[in-house]
Amino acid sequence: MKDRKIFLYIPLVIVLFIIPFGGEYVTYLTGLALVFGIAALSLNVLLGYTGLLSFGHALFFGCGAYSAGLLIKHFNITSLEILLPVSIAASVGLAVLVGLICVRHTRIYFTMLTIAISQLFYALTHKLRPITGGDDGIRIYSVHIFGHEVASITEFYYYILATFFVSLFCLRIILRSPFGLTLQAIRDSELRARFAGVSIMTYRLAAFTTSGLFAGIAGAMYALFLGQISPDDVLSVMRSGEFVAMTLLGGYTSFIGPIVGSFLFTYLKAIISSAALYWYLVFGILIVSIVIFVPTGLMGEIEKRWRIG
Amino acid sequence: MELLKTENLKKYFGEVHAVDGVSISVENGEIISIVGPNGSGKTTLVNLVSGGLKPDSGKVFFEGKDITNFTVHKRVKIGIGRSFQIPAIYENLTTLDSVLVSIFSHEGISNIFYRTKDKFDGAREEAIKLLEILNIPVKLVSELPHGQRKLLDVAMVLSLKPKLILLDEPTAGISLEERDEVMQTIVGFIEEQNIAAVIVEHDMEVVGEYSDRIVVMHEGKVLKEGGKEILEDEEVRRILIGD
Amino acid sequence: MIPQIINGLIFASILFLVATGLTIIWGILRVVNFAHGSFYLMGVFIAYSITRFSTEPALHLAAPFIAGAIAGIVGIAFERGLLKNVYGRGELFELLLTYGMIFVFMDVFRIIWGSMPISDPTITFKLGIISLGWAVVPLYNIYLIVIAAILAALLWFLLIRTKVGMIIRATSFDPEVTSAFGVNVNWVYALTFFLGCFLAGFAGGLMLPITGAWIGLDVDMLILALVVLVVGGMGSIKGALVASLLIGLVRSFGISMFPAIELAIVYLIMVIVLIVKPSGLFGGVEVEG
Repeated sequence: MKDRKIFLYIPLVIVLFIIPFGGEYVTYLTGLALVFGIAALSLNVLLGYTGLLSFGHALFFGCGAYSAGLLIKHFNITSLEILLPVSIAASVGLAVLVGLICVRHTRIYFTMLTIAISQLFYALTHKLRPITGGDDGIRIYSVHIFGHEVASITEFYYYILATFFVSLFCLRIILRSPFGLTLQAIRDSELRARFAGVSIMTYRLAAFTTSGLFAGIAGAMYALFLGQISPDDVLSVMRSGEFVAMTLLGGYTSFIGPIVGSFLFTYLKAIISSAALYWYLVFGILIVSIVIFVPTGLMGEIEKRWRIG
Repeated sequence: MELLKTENLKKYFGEVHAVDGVSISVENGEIISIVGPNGSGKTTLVNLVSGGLKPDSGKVFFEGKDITNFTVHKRVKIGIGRSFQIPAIYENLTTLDSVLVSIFSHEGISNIFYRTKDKFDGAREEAIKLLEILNIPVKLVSELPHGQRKLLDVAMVLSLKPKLILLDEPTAGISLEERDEVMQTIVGFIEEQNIAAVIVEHDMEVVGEYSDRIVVMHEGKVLKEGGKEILEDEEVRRILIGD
Repeated sequence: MIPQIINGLIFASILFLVATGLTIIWGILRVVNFAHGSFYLMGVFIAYSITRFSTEPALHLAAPFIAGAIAGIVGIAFERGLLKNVYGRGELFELLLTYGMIFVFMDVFRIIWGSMPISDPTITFKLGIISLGWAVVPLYNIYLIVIAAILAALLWFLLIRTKVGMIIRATSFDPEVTSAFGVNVNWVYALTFFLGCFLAGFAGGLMLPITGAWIGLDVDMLILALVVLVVGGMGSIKGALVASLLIGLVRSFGISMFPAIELAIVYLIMVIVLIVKPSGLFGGVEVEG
């Protein structure tokens, strides 16, 4: 059963590799979906595995994006091999600080705090124009990797694909480890976990930091892929909400649910927006229907059927 | 040897003197039951010993050490475990994973990000063995009937290898037929492992059958202490039946 | 000084009305209505449509009330028609459902009222200005602050002194007990939603002459109302009052003194309050669940 599942994924992986043959636009969309996939996966470390809903996850996505952007803008460092580690370090640092405040709370209180803190940074980025470029944001003209300039969207797509697989692999290992299992235990019964000798706050903080780390990776790759970032694009509560929506769409109870969600979201948005239809209306109705009819999302539902069938 | 001792423990909730100067002691491997009407302070006492609540005054000693200010976490590490009246279990995990969480915590490896094969397999075997002894099937926790949920709650404590286990109403909500089976399974295991137990229980038959010693509480105080015969005591009967 | 105080009080009044609606709904239904900003925006738009009919001041003054009532009815329809379906499934789904509604409303507004910002200051001109010491302010601004204060007092009276209020408050403690006393809990929920959305829509209507409306205002208002909710303490109307005044005045003075970072200051206050007193200024203990 388990082995057969792996075979199901092989064609998908092959498709991801040959995507650039479909043209620039498809490559661009798929690149976005992959980046958002990493971000949504990272959100689900908190939502699905720890039971905490972050509505300010764009903070870490934006932190990754702006770390890269600011290094380029102020220090003219354009090497991916420097930008990515710095972005990761910044996101981890920020996640620890913010986490120390947030993980003392659960449920709606946690959600509200994540909104507040992300909005604080959003407002600061907006207003500190000399440093951040304000609402114009930062433009990124070129990216290098080990001295070689990235020449095309297709080339960068493959770096994203590689980052995606590495992130997926790492998160899979982390979430299946004793640590991941303990997180799920805390989610289901904080009381029992506490009386099983687990120090709840430490675990929540570790989950928060892990989540921030991968969101930071996604943010950095997004900035370099798009070549343009602004606070509204990468730090806003709307962006945070989109990560939640993707996770919900694909299914927060499933490991790969958020990725399925990010692909659905990205393609659907592109198709509907280009048809000049009311994207937000469709998006809103989609969320409302999912919440009412399939709360465990697409993958949650499929996995449930598989288990029964 | 004396394992647990409480010294003049007090816990007031406003006007209510939930626990009012309780001194009890538990020997190694001993099973004692605490009985008393609702609101007599039994569960509060369990909370004071397990660390769920801090006493207003008084002390708790474990193996001769003052643990009054220990956190729950530290108390678990030195060997105090507890079960809950309403089972505190992991609804979305399997029974096997539930027990594994405790084993990982006990071995201090639940913070490990990578599942090392040998450690994991060892823990898994241990968990399966415990589940077999306690007659709990390996399946999703949400699919367990009530009796087995109570047992699983206890199993998660036992896998922490405690020296003392506090059982808060282990048979509450379990049918009369199942009651004996559940108690026999638990008591059989803890006797074999020489674990001491403090049982808070309503069912007098269970109390009489399985305890070495009985403590009767009333209005936050210890009223009487002794063997099964004190259940026949006039005053004790009056209080318990008045329940 | 006086213009800043007046502006701060206007802003505080509006925030108070919106946040009180949010806090009442939270207190009784345990739902944080993310679509609350949309009801505010709906109020501005509806008041705009009403005032298209004539320049009669009476109509312009009545418009916020009508807008509030319509927003309240839409609120009931939303609660009975959609939100009801997810009760008991946990906060997460209730929250996400109201989140989804933000987008539905957004495009519905766009379809009905278009994408351009709207505003109608007619009533401000009609009412004229009033001199307060050394500052001259529009009379409408004073009217707005007074009417918000009256509404706050009425609300307090409704919740504390009347039987309806008693039932509402009892429901917030324990719906089962309330229903055991023969009160229809569904009815209480619907009424609460009406009240909450009325307040938001009414506040929106009041702001038509001053700021008007644009798509995006819904989310801005939601975030600020959430800040008030959290700073004041969730479920506390007194907290909402104090927090609205605090945020309103800080923002007003912030705009004139630190124009670049006035919003950051507001969020900073929120973060500091939450670090020092996690349950907010007037909040109780977080409910364990």
